[in-house]
Amino acid sequence: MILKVRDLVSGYQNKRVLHGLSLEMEEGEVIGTIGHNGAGKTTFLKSLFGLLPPWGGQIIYQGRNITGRKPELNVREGIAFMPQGQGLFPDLTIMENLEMSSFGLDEVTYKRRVRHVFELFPILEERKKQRAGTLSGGEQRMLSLGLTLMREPTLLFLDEPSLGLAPRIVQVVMNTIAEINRQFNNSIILVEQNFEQVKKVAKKIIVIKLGKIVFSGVLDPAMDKRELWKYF
Amino acid sequence: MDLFWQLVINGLSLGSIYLILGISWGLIFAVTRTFHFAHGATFVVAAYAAYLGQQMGGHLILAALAGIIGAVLFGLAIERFLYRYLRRAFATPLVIFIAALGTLITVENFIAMGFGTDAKPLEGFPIKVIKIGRVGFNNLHVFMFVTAAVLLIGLIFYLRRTKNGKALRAVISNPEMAEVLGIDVQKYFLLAFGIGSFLIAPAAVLVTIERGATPDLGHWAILYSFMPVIIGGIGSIPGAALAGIIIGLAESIGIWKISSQWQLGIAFVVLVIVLIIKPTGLFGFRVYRGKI
Amino acid sequence: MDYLLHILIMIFIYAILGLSFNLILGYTGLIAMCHAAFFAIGAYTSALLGIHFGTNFLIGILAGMVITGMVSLLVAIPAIRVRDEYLIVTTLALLMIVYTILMNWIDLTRGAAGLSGIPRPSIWGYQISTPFSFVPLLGGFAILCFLICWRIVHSPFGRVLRAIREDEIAAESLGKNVRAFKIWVFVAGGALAAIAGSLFAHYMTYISPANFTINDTILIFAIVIIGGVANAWGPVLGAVILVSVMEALRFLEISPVIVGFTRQIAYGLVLIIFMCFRPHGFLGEFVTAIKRKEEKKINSATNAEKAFSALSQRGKVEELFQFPNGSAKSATILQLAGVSKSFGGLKAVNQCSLDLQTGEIIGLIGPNGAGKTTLFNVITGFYSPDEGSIKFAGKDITNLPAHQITNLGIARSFQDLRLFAHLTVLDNVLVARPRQTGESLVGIFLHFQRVAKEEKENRQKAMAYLEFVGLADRAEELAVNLSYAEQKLLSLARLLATEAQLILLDEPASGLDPKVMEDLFPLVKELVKYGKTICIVEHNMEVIRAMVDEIVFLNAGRIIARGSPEEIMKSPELAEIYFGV
Repeated sequence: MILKVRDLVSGYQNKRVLHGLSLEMEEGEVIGTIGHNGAGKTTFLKSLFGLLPPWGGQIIYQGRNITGRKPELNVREGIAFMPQGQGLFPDLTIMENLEMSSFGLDEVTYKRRVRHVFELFPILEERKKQRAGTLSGGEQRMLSLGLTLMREPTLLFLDEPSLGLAPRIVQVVMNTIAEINRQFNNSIILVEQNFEQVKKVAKKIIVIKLGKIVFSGVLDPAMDKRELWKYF
Repeated sequence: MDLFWQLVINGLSLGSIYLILGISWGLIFAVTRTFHFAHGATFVVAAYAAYLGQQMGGHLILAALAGIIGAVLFGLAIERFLYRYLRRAFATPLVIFIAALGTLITVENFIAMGFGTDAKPLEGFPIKVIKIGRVGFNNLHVFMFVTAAVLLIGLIFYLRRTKNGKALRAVISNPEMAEVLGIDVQKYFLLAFGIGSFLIAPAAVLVTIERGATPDLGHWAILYSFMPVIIGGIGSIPGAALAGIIIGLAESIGIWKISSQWQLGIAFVVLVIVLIIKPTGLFGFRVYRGKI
Repeated sequence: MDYLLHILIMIFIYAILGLSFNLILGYTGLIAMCHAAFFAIGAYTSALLGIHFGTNFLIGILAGMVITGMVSLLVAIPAIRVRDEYLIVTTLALLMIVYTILMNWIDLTRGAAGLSGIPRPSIWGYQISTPFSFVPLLGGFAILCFLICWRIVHSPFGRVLRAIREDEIAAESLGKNVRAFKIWVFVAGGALAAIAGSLFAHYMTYISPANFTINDTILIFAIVIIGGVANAWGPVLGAVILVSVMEALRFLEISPVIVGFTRQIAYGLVLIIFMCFRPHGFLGEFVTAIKRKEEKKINSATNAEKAFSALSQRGKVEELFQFPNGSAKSATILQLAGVSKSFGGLKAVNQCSLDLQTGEIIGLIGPNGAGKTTLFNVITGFYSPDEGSIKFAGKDITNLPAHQITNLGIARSFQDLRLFAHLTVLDNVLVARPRQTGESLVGIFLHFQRVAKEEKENRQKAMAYLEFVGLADRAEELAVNLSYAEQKLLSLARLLATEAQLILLDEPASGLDPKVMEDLFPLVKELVKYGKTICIVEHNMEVIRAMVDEIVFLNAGRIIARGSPEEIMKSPELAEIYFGV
């Protein structure tokens, strides 16, 4: 059991968003998290990663209590987060972006991991001197993923990786996520609105609605999408 | 024609100082988003630290060093003990500004009390007049220009080539993402203040050599620190540098036409014109996103 | 004794300066560095008129106010257009330029030598020359200025100033011309400072630029800060404290030069220490709110239903939501035709055409980034469309500014609420009331009765709106102290108070308990009975199903479907689009 979450309560200022979430995750698992906007999916990931201090509940990672721990410490221990939208530094080049995700790494490890990222995303190597803000949407997303991979994370949080991308690119991004899971056997919690793509990558699905988990389990990939309205 | 070159040289030497003031303040503002009004206090601290250094028997070089050390220590202290405290207490920008204003006044007047208001000189710079044709200037002007160029190039090099410099650009570009990658943003705030304070010291030393140090230079300095940044565009170091030179040249030409006492008015006119035509500044584009 | 009177007189003068600066800084939140410049312009204008033309000091005061008003207008118009940081820069530059002019326009101002021989004030031939006789004169002016500031601060105009300080965008969205208010307060504050300047000149009979340096701006800052920002009495207290301290230092046997520096250091330290430990000064406008983490028990929402039915029985709801004049029930209230808006290369809204009828409740849904909030922003005037037209009740509103659009009858709520945190619940709603005579300076000083009458009516109406949402018993509470659900209700009450016909709600249900929502839905649905049209952006389908008549489906900036919730949710194609292809 790589991650155990118990009764997580969280929110912003005086707005409570999560009303007690519980979850158990095995090593190597990919969990897809869907739900309507504002249901609390991003709040969930941010609370797990330490960007948002939880109001209550517990987060246990590899047997250790990491509730409310700051991202700096989590990053050093192999937990990485890809935020929604532009999860990179637009004014820095691709190489510089990757460098920013390498604090604490020695030269050899750094070079090796950059290699890995370029193997996974050859287009990034081609454009490595280009400013990240001038990349296409898909390329930016790949860079964001690449930044998390610099940590070779054992636990990875991805916040809507398909957001704003053309359908063809979404395919590529999702396939890459599946590939990452295969190569590194890491555990991934994936937040998405795009159920079609999520179901290809994640066997287990949880649905968050109004700050609570209203479904947790396996959804039939062939199910009629119109069934989903009731969860949103 | 000679007059033209004379004006240009005057303008460049003025502009050199404004350039340094602008890039030093601009870096701090872009990284930390703090309207560091007390940067003017850093200027006076540097000037008087240099003066003190010389009084204690130091060579000009050592005095300059004293100025730099004084500036850096002061700048770091303000960030670490004042601004960071206020930020943690969720202070609004207005509150931080007023505290910085108070700091500037307190420092200026402590110095006035301790040293008096007469201009304190910095000796030891061998001033030599150079004449090319009928255009005359002195080597201090050249030195100012060279210093500004060196500092600008050095800063750009630092920001482009070193890991910490890149981290500063990262914080400018997307501070939330910096946190996500585990970068210690508070540490880089300190670094920005350290570098910004380090940069302003040479300007203080040069100005002191040229006309002597007075306590009220603080509010002169802060004004000429953010004017180039506003005109050049927030977040753009080259923009602030260029704006500094432009202000210097404009003032130089303006002084020729009008009395020198109206100098400040010229800079103000440039500012108003730029704000009306392009409110984001000459090179400013997205707010706080910097091209270095 | 004379000396004590002198202190009293200086207190009067600095109290006027503090009061006038408080209007600008404390109430409106504008960081203006040039107050000493207004002080100076008033002083020099009056002095010069007195010296060269022997004009009566009252004329001098008036002239000083006019000139200062013009200068402050000149500065405000460009400066207020841009970000607040630029105001610091421009006002600081103004201060230093005025100082430079005073020092260098020797022909006019005699430069550093200053102007001496300024005539003492005389009233009906009686000359005021002793400190004793100055006291009633200056005291009188001080009281007059205090009353003016008091009137401003406790009027609807003052209320809008505080709203602007709290959240400009929200104020704009409630129909207030924020830019105009800022300019007005800047000019008014400057004019009052000029009065202090003229009085100062005629009292001292000698002025020089040294009286009007940045040090004096700092003193004025300190007066306002120490006494308490945004409090009518604060600057008075601040003036008393600081002027007394300032003068008391003279008694210590130190050279006057050192005293000068010590004073300044004291002011500087006052600013730092107060910002660190007591940012709201001794009196302050409000005590710091304790941050609440847990949601409070909400009885208010469950009372809403009861309140509502009680209200309707008394027929009050009819009053609250009067039918708009002359519009039939099924008129087309909003017409979008081919509206587009791009940011950079991205077309956030792409050729949208939409008609809304009076009395409809429409839900706007779409996947993330479909352009829903952008559409709201375009309709309400926060963005100008790149192409297309928008008509409201037949009138073209395409390029009107946001506050005008609100005044015509469209109002919107914000995802992040944007309440006026440190205003009371009642004040939040009062700000939203339209057509207040008391929101202009002319109104509050020339139309006392009308303003008082309107205020009374508006209070009643505001309380009625609060009763409608069940917050009447919290009317005097600060908005920041409410629970999240109560804040949501307040935002709704505020919106309704604008009397808008078309109401745009941006994610009204987010962050609310299902129980609260159950009570909220009927409230909102009732509104259409009175001719309101409601458009809701929502992501929660239960809310949509319960509240709306029709759904408009947005995707990638285009409207791709419109129909009842059942129709929309029956469509396999739309499900594909929403849940991803």
